Amino acid sequence: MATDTTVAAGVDAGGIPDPHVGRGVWWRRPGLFYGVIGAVIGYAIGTWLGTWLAEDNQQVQGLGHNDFAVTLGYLVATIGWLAGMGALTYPLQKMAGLQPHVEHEEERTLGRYFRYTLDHKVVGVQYLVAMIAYFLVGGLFALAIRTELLSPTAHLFQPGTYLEIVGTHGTMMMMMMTSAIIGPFGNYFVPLMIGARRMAFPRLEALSFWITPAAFLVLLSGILIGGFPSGWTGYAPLSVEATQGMDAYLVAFGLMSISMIVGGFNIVVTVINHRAPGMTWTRLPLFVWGMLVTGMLMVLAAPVLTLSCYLTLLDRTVQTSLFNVQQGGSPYLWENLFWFFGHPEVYILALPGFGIAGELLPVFTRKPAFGYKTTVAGIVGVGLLSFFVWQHHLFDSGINADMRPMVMLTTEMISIPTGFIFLALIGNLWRAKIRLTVPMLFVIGGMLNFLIGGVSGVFLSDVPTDTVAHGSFFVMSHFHYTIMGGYIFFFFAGLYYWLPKMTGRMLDTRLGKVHFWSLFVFFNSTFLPLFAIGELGMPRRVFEYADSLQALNVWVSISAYLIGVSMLVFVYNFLKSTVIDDKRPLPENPWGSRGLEWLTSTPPAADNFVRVPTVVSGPYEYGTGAGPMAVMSSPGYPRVPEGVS
Amino acid sequence: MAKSGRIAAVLVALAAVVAVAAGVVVYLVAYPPTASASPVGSASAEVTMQTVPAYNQDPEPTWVSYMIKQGDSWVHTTMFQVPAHSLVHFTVYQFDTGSPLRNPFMNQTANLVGGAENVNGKDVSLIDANVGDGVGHSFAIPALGVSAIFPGVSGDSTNQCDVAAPCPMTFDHNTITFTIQTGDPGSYAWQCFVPCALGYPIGFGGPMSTLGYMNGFMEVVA
Amino acid sequence: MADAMVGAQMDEPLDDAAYNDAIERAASRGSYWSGSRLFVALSAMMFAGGAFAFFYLHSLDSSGMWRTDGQAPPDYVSVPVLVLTLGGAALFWGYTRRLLRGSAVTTDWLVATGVSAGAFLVAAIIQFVGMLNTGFFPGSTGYASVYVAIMPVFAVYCLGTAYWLETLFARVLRVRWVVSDEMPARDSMERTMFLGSAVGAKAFVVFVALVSLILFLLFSVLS
Repeated sequence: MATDTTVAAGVDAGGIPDPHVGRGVWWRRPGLFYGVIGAVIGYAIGTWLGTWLAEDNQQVQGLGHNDFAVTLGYLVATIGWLAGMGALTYPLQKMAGLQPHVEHEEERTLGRYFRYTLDHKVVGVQYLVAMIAYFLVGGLFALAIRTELLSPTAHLFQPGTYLEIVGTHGTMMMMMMTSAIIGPFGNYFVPLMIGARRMAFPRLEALSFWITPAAFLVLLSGILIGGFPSGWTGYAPLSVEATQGMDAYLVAFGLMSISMIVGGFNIVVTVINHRAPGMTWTRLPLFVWGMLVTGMLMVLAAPVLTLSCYLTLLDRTVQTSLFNVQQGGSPYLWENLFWFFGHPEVYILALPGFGIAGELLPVFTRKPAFGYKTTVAGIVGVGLLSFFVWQHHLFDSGINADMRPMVMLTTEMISIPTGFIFLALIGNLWRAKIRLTVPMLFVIGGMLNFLIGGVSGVFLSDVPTDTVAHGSFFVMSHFHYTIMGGYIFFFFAGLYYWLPKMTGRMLDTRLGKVHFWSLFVFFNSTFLPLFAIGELGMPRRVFEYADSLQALNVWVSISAYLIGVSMLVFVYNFLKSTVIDDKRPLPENPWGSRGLEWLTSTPPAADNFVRVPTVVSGPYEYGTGAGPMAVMSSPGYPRVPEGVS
Repeated sequence: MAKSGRIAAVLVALAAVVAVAAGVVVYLVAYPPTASASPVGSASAEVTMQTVPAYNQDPEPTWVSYMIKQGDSWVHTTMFQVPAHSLVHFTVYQFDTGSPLRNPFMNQTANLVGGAENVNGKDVSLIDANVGDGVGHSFAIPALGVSAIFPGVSGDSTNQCDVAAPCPMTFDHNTITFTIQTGDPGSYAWQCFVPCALGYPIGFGGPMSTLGYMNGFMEVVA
Repeated sequence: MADAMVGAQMDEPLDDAAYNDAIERAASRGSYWSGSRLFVALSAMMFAGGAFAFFYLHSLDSSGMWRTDGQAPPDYVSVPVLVLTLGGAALFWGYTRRLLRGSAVTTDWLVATGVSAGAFLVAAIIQFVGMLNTGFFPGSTGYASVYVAIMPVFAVYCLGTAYWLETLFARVLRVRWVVSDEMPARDSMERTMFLGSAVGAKAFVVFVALVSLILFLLFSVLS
């Protein structure tokens, strides 16, 4: 190893160009092609290793299948995939004492979307396309569920297959969709909105994304090896006894938890450290607040999920007995660990949506954000309290009865900060000049849906009502109102709002309104009756039900199909606007937003800002006569940034 | 790329997605297959099954499994259709060995027509699993309170079935017959209650919790 | 936040590149500091999950199978791992503290860091090899299960710590001026990133040492 002991050698000595950057033929640098090859080779190595290690194992011989081989196959395939993408290059260079620079790609080729790119905007677009794909696949499984439930007695699927489908749908939505907002919009817009030229750890950002295709494919592959019968919650002891499809669930959820940790970590560190001069905490956009707290939840809750999946894999492979009562374990251990992640996860899904609503409402009501500090307090309060409520998922599964009132209290308390947020959001509409654009429609629709979801959640937080409604379609309807009715509506609001910035293309407004109204009507037509169906006694995850509930179920299924049609309208609009139509010139700031992200070029330059901006006012000073919120590019300005104490 | 090229690319991609989705649906719908019971008379039917010690075929070659006879061939399924409000005669060929029962309550028959099953020509309503060859498997329909138990083949036998399922009758086996009365149409879950899933913590995982092996559905149709 | 750093340094107007660079340096330094603390926090959550499993199963004592009499990992595994991790952490922490205060000779720091990285590496190897000979079956009791589950995670952390220290070691070996306080090195991004990483590692080794001590107490001392 060459040693350079002189300062005069220059500050760049020892640094090397980033291998992912720069022109060159695609096969001479890491990328998707080598990722796939790495995955295939990794799978072969992992499977061979697992077979070699455990083929003589008594349990493996008894089971007739080797969970070691399946698990190691998945894990080594993922490592091979990431290695092929180039994720290991940097750590290995670090071991050699090198320090690769972060250099942004100036070239705007299609190929960069298939590489381990370090540009947060490219990662944002990668996330956007991937999340839409994951969501649509999960939605197809939902349609399969509704098709099966058209009749209480005539069956399309066998009961075990039905459980597989329900589990895959649930896991796809609850696992992959955790990053539906923080992935595309968080990664793309947080640096732009805080005046940063990049993310704190660009390689971690790329890692967080490239893990998601692996998790997605591993989860789907579970279908080919018997699926998993446990639904998305993976309860023990069923998870320990289930067939190999369960390995797919555990590896996929574990991988996705790592993606969440890495992605959330990066967002938090970026917001704390990379804010531009003058971007004080009280000027921080509400969307960024939402991302910050969501990132914290991911960082602190997801490690417990990683551990939980790992523990179950150990029970299934090396024969620990963590969840086996007869040998000193307990299935309640899983319930506690899983829900310690699982309930904060609910807010991982809720808070980004609130952030989008808070961000968009002032733009389309043309007045300062109502109750900014109240909203922030609500977001932070929800984040904190979310760690103290998980045991309400154990109300009916054997928790000490004396504990229930306390957990009921903490659960109900969370409605207080949620109420802060909600009241402040509604306050934005007060005496406002409301512009009913497509993003605004989705925000209002999301708020209405979330209200129903939130209020029904208060019922479920009460022990007596939960005891009755537990495990029924009432619960199912409740969380679909909060997640699909809230989160996904807010996601679409963000998509319609920010896509012009991301791509320079505007989604068709007329089709957008058709999309919104059809989705809003048919969403409610699907899930409102499910409250009644639940109250009438229909349990979740059972493919047979009372004959008397068939009419309602048929109604719900037809409505669900119409949601599918609504999504097709969106897909058509998205493809038409972004891929098929020729690019038409757009106004730089089509919504008239004050946001810092709209003060850059469209699409933004590689490093976002020529000169790091100096923020001089808040992002929501509509109608106050305030000038632009930042000084953007003025050579030599400022000697001492304004607003700096 | 020209606009027509972009449209073509999108259409090709969509066609690929639709093809994959259709393939997945067909795959999910097709497994496991359902066998129909052979009609015996206007109000009765015949179901013939066998239990094999190992399926010896992919995807789970070492798992114990039921198989059901359809016409002259054996089908790897645990789904079968029978008529409502009828007598259904079962014939089970037990090729697997047995063991003592964890739950002695399961050693007796329940709700069988005539109060007993017939094992190798002898009426039996209770088997002491702790002596002799033990109990291999059972057939129970909890919703109907039905339970039939199948004594195992001797573990000392030198003629145990070890070929790919189904097992030919030339191998050692016990023949069990019993009859149940069906009620209203509907799907009735049935399963083996002997924890015979070797290697799983309490013996109820794997084949015991997988359709097509040790549990299934009896579809009662009008 | 970058404000104070930039404001303090700016006596004259800076061109765009220099201005951006000054802000990037301050942000990078802060990112390493808060990133390392956040990494400690998320790691703590994961180990807390393991500790929860320990105490939860201990208190339940399902089927009277929490732990059999005398069930414990061999001392020849647990004691060396404890000593190596505590010693390695103390060595790196002390010398890096001196380095950051400007009172350490670079070569001393290099030796200390190399030894410390080696200590964590050896601890990881001992722990991994020790898993092959625990003296009990993984699923024999709740205690055995938790031990078999948690200790490999800890060994991975030891390995990760060794890796982190090795990158610092290799960096200084390759480019000694990254520890220099003279211009232009002082204001370089290279130095900022190295020192940021060193400050982060200094906090992290303390965490790993603490986890090592707690795990020793749980599995080898508590009865």
